[in-house]
Amino acid sequence: MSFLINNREPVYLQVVRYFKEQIATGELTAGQEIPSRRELASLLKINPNTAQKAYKEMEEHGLIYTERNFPSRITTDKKVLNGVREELIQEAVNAFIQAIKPIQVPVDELVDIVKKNYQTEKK
Amino acid sequence: MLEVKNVTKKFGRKRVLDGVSFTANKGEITCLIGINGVGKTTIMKAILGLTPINGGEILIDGEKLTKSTYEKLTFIPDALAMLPNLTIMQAMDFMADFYDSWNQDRADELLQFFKLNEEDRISTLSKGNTAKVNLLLGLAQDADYVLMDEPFSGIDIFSREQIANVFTSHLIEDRGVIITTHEINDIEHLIDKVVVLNNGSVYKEFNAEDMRINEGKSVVDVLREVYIP
Amino acid sequence: MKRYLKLVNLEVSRVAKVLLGGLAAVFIIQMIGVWITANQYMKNANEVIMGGASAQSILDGNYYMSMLSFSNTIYLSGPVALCAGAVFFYIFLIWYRDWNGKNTFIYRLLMLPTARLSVYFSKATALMILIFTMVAAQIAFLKIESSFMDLLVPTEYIMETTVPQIANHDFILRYVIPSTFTEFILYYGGGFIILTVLFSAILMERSFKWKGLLLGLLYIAAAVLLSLSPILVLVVLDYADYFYESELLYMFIASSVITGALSVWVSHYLLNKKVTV
Repeated sequence: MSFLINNREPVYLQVVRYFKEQIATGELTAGQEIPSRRELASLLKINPNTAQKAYKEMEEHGLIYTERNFPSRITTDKKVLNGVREELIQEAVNAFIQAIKPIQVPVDELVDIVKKNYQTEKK
Repeated sequence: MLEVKNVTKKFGRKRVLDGVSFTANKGEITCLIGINGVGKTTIMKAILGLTPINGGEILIDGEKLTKSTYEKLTFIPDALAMLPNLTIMQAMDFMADFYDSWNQDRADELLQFFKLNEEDRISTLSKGNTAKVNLLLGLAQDADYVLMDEPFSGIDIFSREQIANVFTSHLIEDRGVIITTHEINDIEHLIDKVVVLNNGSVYKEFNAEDMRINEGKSVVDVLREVYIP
Repeated sequence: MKRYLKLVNLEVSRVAKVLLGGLAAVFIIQMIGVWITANQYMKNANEVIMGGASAQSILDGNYYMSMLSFSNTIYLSGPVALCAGAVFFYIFLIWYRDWNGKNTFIYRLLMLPTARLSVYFSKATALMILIFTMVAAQIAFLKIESSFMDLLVPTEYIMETTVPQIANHDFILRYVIPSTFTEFILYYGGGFIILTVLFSAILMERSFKWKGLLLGLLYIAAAVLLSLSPILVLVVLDYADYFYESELLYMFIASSVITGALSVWVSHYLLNKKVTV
């Protein structure tokens, strides 16, 4: 797993976002087992207490669930899983809109540029 | 919990430590940071009874240091704390001889982890490998508190990575770690608490993650505040 | 106790190689010395005979060869003096070697879960073991050297001597291999007390650096005065004549033992409260 860490943003949130991205792209599937907090800390090179915090956050948001004495798993709740994808898309789009607003580009022109760049990106 | 309470220490006329207070908890990694000469190593040595203090007190789990405290308090200094003409195996035997808390299984695990050969004479090892031996001798003890002084200093980048890996492994599990370092980049996201020292006292004591959450600042940002006002 | 013994073992094994090498060197030099002095004698004897005298006249003149002639030569006394010097040097080295830049073994010694006084006594004990090993070796050497001399000089010219006789005749060995038990206790007991005083001075230097060095030197002077104090007091008060020599000796022993005990206590205090790495 490659994981770039921003030193100013709370690490646990970066971890949560990372998991959301993995869910959105289907890398992590419903019900899939995830590493223990210590394994995760080791993989991502973060403090185990931070990994713990991330898991707690995800548990609270229903992204993962833990049965007693079993490793944690990604939720099987379809609504939540789709919601994650939605959430990330919205987040990225809103960020883009905020950035581009001051330049005052007409929406159609914008969509064309986006389409074109997206195609070239894919290549 | 390890408590440093209002510790003062003079070297000749100079007050190197002038009322230093902070705590370190088990299960957390506490990092002492400050410029060269601010007294980080002095505090470590004071905690370990390797240098006397002029005032204040240091309590380990509520008690002052005695000889039995050394079973639960281990030090990994920046120089080898062993006879260099011994082989790694002989050094481990020495530790096993003197410390009840010596855990040979863990020592063997560390040998593997660091890819060291126990037949090697310590004096023949590279700087990086000597540092790893030092770490091994300290970590293989079932100590509650591990104090490390500049574990990354002068070490090549790959050895540094290996050493940093120790912090996330079960080898540190539930132990209280106090570390001094300049290489904050290696461990910025590995540490729990930061204690910034300046002019003989604690400028700030904070939790790294909380600082990111509450103020959006990295540890380096806080350091900049101290040294570049 | 167990840890103290382990430390003694460690200290002794650290110096064992040097000890063995040193003893070998002593033996070789002394044997060479026997060879040289024996041959010198034979050369002289032969010259005398060549000059016309009879072998008997040599014997009548009590011009015997013995190990006594060998004693007080540089070949015998020299190595002994060097060994004594080496031991004196090691009294300091045994501490300072653990403190030097590359070898910071003192960290480990001070962080052992054992009373620091064990570290102190292990070093003192190791030195005593070192000394006694040398003495025992020297005794054995003298025996071998005597036999060697018997090979080099015809029997009629040899006067047999015992080890105590040889030792007593040599101005250094008489103290190293004393002829009476009392002397043994005095010299070696006294030596041990000197060791404790020096250890205290060393620890003072290690605790306070330059000030400590000064303090250490002052302490040595004070220790000497303290040991001699009963006698000094009596001399000053002019009461010395009232006491037998043996009584003065006992007083001296008592005050020396007190000095030694004080030194151990001072070392204990410094090692636990003041020493710094």
